[in-house]
Amino acid sequence: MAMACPNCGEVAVDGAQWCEACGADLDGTAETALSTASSSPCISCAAPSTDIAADGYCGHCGAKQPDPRDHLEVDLGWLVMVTDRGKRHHQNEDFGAVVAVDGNSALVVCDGVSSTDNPEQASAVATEAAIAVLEQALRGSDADLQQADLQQAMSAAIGAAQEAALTVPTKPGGKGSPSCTFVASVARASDDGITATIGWLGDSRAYWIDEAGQATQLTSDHSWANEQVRAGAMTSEQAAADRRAHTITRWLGDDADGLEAELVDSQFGNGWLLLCTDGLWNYAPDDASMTTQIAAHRGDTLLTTAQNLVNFALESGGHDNTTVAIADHTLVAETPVAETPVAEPAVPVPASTPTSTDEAVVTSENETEPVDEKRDLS
Amino acid sequence: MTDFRADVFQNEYLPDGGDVVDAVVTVTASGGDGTVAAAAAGQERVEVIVIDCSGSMNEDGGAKIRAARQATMTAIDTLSDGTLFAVVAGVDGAYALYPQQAGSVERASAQTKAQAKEVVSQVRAKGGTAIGTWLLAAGGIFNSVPNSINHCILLTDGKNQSESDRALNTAISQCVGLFQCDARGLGTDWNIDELRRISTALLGTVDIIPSPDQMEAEFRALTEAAMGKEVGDVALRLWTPQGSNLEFVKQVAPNIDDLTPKGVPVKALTNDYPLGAWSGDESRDYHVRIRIPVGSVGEERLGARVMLVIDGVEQPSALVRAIWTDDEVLSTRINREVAHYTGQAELADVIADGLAARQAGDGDTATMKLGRAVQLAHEAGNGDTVKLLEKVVDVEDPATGTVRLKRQVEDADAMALDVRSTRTVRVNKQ
Repeated sequence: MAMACPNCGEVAVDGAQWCEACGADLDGTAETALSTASSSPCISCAAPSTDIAADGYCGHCGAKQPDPRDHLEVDLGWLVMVTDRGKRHHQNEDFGAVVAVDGNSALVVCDGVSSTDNPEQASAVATEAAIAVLEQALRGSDADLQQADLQQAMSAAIGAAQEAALTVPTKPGGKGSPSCTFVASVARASDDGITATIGWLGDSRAYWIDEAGQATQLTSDHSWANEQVRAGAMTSEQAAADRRAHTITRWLGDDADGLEAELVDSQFGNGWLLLCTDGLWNYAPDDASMTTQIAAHRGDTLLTTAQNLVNFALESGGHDNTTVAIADHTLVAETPVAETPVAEPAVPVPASTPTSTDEAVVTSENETEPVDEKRDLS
Repeated sequence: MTDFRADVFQNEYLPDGGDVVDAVVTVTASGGDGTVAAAAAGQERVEVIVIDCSGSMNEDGGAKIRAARQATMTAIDTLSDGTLFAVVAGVDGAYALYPQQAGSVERASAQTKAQAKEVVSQVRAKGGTAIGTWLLAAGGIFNSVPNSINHCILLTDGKNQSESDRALNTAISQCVGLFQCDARGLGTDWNIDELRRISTALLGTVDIIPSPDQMEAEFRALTEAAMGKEVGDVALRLWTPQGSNLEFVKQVAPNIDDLTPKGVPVKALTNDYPLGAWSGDESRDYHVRIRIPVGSVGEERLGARVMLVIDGVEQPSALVRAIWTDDEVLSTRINREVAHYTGQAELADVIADGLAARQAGDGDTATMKLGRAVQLAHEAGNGDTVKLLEKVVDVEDPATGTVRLKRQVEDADAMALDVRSTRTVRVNKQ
């Protein structure tokens, strides 16, 4: 399993319980707060790293040290993850992880809810917990993983993520229980194509990108705007223009009781699974525009493609934390390990009907700051 | 178990080139039972009552000394059993009333309280006023008990006539950090500045007791408050960055008290400001202003790290931050708490200036200053302060601060306005 250490950003090796670079606990069950301890001297006054407090401020000049989580990358060739703080938020509350086992993949992306306490911890521990469960599922079964097994693994992963999120402390007199969105994919590759299960809560999304480059949203946002559209109360344009548009209606965290994750099963030919937070899809809200942006930002490698997509979000305003995780199953197929020829292009079979509009929506100058908020449950 | 918490209220955004960081720190103690003696294990509570027995206490046909006796007996009755206590008579020197031996204490019980009250009931007024000697006598008593929560009630009806001002100052400085002192002036013949110096240095309060019949209630309230103190030693610890200047740290609620000169360096870039004893259920506000080296736009620096030191143990901190931005919407946002207490500090200042001008016969300045005071107090909702001001000026329009000085003002009213001018109201929590 490959995962960035939430403490220092170092990519940890398979099954590591501790980060070899900084010693941070990686098993996702620890209640320790994620610190931004650094081993570098102060960026402002060059005071030694020992003078820098656990919260990232220099004990000499007070300068805030860059947070390793501001920008993290994981590169496993055919699986990548890139996350960035963006330009407006003071910290990166997104987190992501990827795991590859014998050509099978799992991706997890979480987006901390800014209107709660310690959301950056919630997203990190939830991600860690979920990816660990998914990895175990992929690794543990030597034979065929059926769709039902993937479903079971996904449910278990979401359960573990929820439990992990509960371990994050609130702040005295704070804003509310640490919470985050969740989206994950677990996919098995076979001669017949890809069998996948997607699970999510909130407005982080999963897409299937087929070999022709067509993006299809597999998830359906648990957001105020989308609920209005689903209920037929508003058009997507009307809903998107409302200031409550981004308010999410499901999440992980202490007050998420009764908020069920949604799962979809899919079979594909060959292509990519792409997970992202709203930091990206805000600038490419529908399938057409996502298709266009992915085509426009293809790089030489999967990592550069993911980097380009994140940069696209930054150049479009960088209003929110942005995370992209991709599993390109076509790359596995090309490696000598997988001898199976590329399957015939097939039409992806999303479980939910993706909404589509005609043209790419470009962010306007007057766009309101996206703030992650939860629906008030009370 | 009393828990302490510090919360910071500020606008952390500074404009390009900005170097002044303002923050209000609310320190809250909670979880104590708030009323009964519940001092930390191993900590004694010591109460010393100093009553003025100078000759002037015989005025008004002996009403003052009779009231002082009664008030002191009530205070003794209010002591929680187990409290260590002593009663001192203050004249040209200080005399132990109870227990008889100077520099000692007795443990409160039904029996010792009765003995003490018997002694107090017979005390006579005769002699001068040397408040410094009273403080030193109290200090000697507190020094006889190690590691204790120390509180003193000091009553005088006159000025410090029997010793030099320097002697008083020396005595005050010797008592700093040893005990907390609430000073009360009976009638109008005492000197506000003298008692304020004592209460400020010794982390207590100062107030006027206009007439003898109000003394008993006041002594009871003071003693009850003292019995409610559960944590004897609290300090505000401030770390400020290299190259910065802590312009001030002031208590701003429940009353204004400049702590800046009381800072004690504890380690590099770090000073402690003593906050005295706390009950298990109270909250106070502090205004901190720091001038820090200018950072570039987009940079974030710590303006201060705010810690609490509870009985010598440092607690986790709250942060005063500075983030430079070119977004004027952010940098011009005014923090409600900071604005409120800036106004409250101005209110205290204009009252002091207005009363001084009035005293000096400068009616125009007095009218202007006190008018501004009425306006500020009205805006901030200081109803009590408005009432005090109305005893000194006739208010025509509180919104604009249009006032006229009253021709006839009772001395007690002017003094009450003076001593209570530093009392503040808190920000309305929305």
